[in-house]
Amino acid sequence: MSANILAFSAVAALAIASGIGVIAFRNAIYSALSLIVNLLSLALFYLILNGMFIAAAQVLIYAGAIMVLFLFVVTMLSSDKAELQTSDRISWQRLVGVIAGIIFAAAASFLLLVHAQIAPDAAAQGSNNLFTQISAPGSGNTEAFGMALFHGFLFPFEVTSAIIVAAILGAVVLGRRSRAKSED
Amino acid sequence: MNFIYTVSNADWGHLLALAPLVVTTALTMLIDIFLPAKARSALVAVALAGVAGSGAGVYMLYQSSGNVLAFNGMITTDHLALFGSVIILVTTFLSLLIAPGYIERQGVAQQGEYYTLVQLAALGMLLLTSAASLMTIFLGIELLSLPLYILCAFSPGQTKAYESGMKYFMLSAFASGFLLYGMALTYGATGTTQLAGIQNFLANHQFTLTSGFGPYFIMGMALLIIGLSFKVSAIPFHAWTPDVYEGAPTPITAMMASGTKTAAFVVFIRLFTETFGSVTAEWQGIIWALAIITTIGGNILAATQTNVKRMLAYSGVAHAGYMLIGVAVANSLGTAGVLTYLAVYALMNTGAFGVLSALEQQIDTNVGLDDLRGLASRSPLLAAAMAIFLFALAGIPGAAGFIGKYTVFYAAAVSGHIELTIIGVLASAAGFFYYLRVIWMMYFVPPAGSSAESESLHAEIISAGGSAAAAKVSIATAAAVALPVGATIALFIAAVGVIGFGIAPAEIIQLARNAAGLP
Amino acid sequence: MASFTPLLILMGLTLAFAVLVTIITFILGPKKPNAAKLSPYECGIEEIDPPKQRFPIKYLVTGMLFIVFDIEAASMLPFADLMRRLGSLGFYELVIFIAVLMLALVYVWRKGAFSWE
Repeated sequence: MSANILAFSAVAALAIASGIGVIAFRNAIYSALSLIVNLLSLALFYLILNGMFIAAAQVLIYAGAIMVLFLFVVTMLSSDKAELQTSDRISWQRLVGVIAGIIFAAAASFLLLVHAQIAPDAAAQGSNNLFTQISAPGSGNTEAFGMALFHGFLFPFEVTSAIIVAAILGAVVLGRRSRAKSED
Repeated sequence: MNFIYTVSNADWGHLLALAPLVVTTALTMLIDIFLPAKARSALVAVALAGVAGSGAGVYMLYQSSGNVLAFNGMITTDHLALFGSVIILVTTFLSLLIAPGYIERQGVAQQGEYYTLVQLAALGMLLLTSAASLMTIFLGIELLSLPLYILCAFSPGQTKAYESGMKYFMLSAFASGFLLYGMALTYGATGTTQLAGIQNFLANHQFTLTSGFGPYFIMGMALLIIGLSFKVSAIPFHAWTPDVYEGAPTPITAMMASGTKTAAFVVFIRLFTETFGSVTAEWQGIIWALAIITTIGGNILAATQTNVKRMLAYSGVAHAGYMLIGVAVANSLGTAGVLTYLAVYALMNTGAFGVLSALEQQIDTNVGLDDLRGLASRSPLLAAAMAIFLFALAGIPGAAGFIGKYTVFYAAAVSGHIELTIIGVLASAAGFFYYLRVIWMMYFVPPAGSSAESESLHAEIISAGGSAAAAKVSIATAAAVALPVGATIALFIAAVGVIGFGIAPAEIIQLARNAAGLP
Repeated sequence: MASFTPLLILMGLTLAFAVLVTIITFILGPKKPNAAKLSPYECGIEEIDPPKQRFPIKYLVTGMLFIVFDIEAASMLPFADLMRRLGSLGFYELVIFIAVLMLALVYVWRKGAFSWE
């Protein structure tokens, strides 16, 4: 148990540090690299939770494919000062936003960390739930995921294909449009 | 090791409302790539057939009885879902009818993509109304949003279109994050993603803000409210609405304004009024406050607009406020009110945007108040249609909008929330101003091109060596607006519906009451 | 958990090394920034033209399509693991899933998204 907590704390620190890095770095490449670290630390969280398949998918899809896209985008950014340091006409909003964010984060973490308990039978209900039941100890984790995905969550799985079609169409519509424009 | 759930044959029957649209979506894509460009006019017919087929499916499901849950409690086909589905199908149908003339005028070359995406968005909305699990709710929201992001940015070469798509995408993705976190916390608190399971759990457990699973659940609920309020564009989550509506192609704006709102409000009802119905005290206050702010703020903001599309966007915010009143009363009567409101809103709002899209075929920019000057003398029928829709939106008795307002305000009054009724009535009275201003412009202000003023304007343009385009615009504004066939049919259907429901509302009110579970 | 420990240690070491090197260069390296150095892919050659304009969007489209089909492949992974146990239902399910995506693939192909020029 303590090993788990230790591992979690280490990965959590890494995740937070890299997350701050993503927004704090001025150079877009550094931000992208921080994002890779952040995504990998998320994969580590999944491993700690025994989610082998989702950890693998995280590395495959996010750290792999999505980062490729990010780097493509970065190549199109310029290092002009104008884009690096955008002036903010509504700076008071940023201040209010920061204050509101801090209040929310403080209130939420106070409630969730100090007072909240998982109801015993919610946990039981959760563990009786489809996914948990089939991921009984000893069975392969990816198998359990597959059983849930292809049986209990059959309907959402098929809907996902429609969402992917929409995404593909979006890539073609917006991509082709810009290409036609740049060839003008 | 078993996997608990096996799909039964009966499950597939519940897809009757979705299946026709799925088939025609695929058909649209196939026609677009395999048939010659001349066959493109068939695309809209295929899409319309899909919507009609789905309508028939809804009717068959309405006739059938028995278990409403299907696929492991993922979707439901109860009367609430079917009522919402009909509204969405009608909106999509009207939007598709308006589309051909509009997109040809705007020079949209990618018609196949356009119709495919419209159908996918409609599928997402239908899925959302029939969602019975947090999982399906999220998938439905993504399936409806993703095509809409793309459609918002569809008009080629327009900065406003890109701005619209980009803003909608960024802010909507942000709101989805809130929604997803809220779902995760709700799941953590109750141990299930199925709405029936959550309802059951809440009925059997006590909690407070600072004990038990209360913190998880209440935080989750708050985040769910934020995510859904964004979708219905309630103040203070409304800021995206005018910019996105303005830049999107007008038929899409029409579909977004009524369709997304319907889908999101059905989820609001299913999630809050039904699933969280036993813990009303925990969320009612927030919705109550949102309803008041949105009602008042929406009307004030709408009154300051001179661009008609933006004015309608803010009026949409105000209408979301009236509908939130129905959610805030937290009972079946309120639900029936919201559903009635959604039904009539779909007709009058789509109609108003339909008129705008007809006007935009004539002038290149968005329609400003000045462009409507003297519309009654140029195109009397179009002006009459617009007047009907605006009277309905304002809530003047005799047009359908009044029925929606009446049922919602009545529900608030008899449920002990008389303050919401008073605020709602006062706000709608204030709303008369900006709707009637448009009507006044159409009927009582002479058109810009007919007077001596315009001749001097012409002389000015010519003497200043003004561009031919400018002269063309001012001449075009003076001419009658040519209406494509599809748009004419759409406006006719919407106008007949608005007047019909305004005069004989009993039927629709009864259907809405049935959907809400009232006799 | 225990079975992942070596993996965790390996990843930890790799990350620690990378972070360490980055931090050391950040601290020790002299910093004289100029516009050329701050450009994302600086290579030392004076630029002839501002590189940002008219970057071929086709790379980006390819990247996006890659993501989409990567996700598809990932969903097939668990199926491969238990194809026999899932029986015919699982099979037809996956057939539908792939058919839908195949339609999308054919669509973008015919639309010319894969043609390079």
